[in-house]
Amino acid sequence: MNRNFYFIGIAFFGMINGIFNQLWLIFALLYVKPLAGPLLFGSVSLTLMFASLMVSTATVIVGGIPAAIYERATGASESNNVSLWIWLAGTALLALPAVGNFLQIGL
Amino acid sequence: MGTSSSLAAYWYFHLPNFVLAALMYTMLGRVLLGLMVDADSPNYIWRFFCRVTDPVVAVVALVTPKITAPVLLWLFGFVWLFWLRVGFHYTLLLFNLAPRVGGAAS
Repeated sequence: MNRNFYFIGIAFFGMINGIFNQLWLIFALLYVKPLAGPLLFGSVSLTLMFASLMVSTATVIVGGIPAAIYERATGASESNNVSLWIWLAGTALLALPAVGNFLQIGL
Repeated sequence: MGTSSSLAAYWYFHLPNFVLAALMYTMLGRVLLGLMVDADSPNYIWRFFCRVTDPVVAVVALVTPKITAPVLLWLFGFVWLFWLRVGFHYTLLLFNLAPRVGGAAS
């Protein structure tokens, strides 16, 4: 499979979790204002978008940890299809709590 | 509680939080500057950003798949540091050892 499809899938699941995971989005929202306030000029919509971005990126990052461990364990010199599959599956698993909201509301 | 007394009472929170915040913003600076200068640029600001953030990037690279581009790795570092600050504050808050979120700004 073309590697771009993996990246699209990983970004898609990250986006789903960042927008529709109510628990983590609210948790991030509570912290974004005091911790990254100077970046956002006090704008509420920017704060919400930044919080969503933090959750999305965290999903992608955490989903990539098993893939990185696999690469180190096998001594691979670069990422291969297996590690990209692991990364994709990791982000998909992390996005599971948000899938219900996504299917109900949609993009 | 005033700012100075809060700083004195919660120094064990404010000090690491300040260091992490400085690293976080320096990482963001590296990302933005990286769009304009070469990776081996002799620019002293660039070299300073790289020297300060290289240890964080090295740790982040350990838990990131190798296919990730350097600029994404720096962005991941920024997000890691953000969540590290959140986790640090939240952990201390659970033990009632940290100021409330409103006083955590930096």
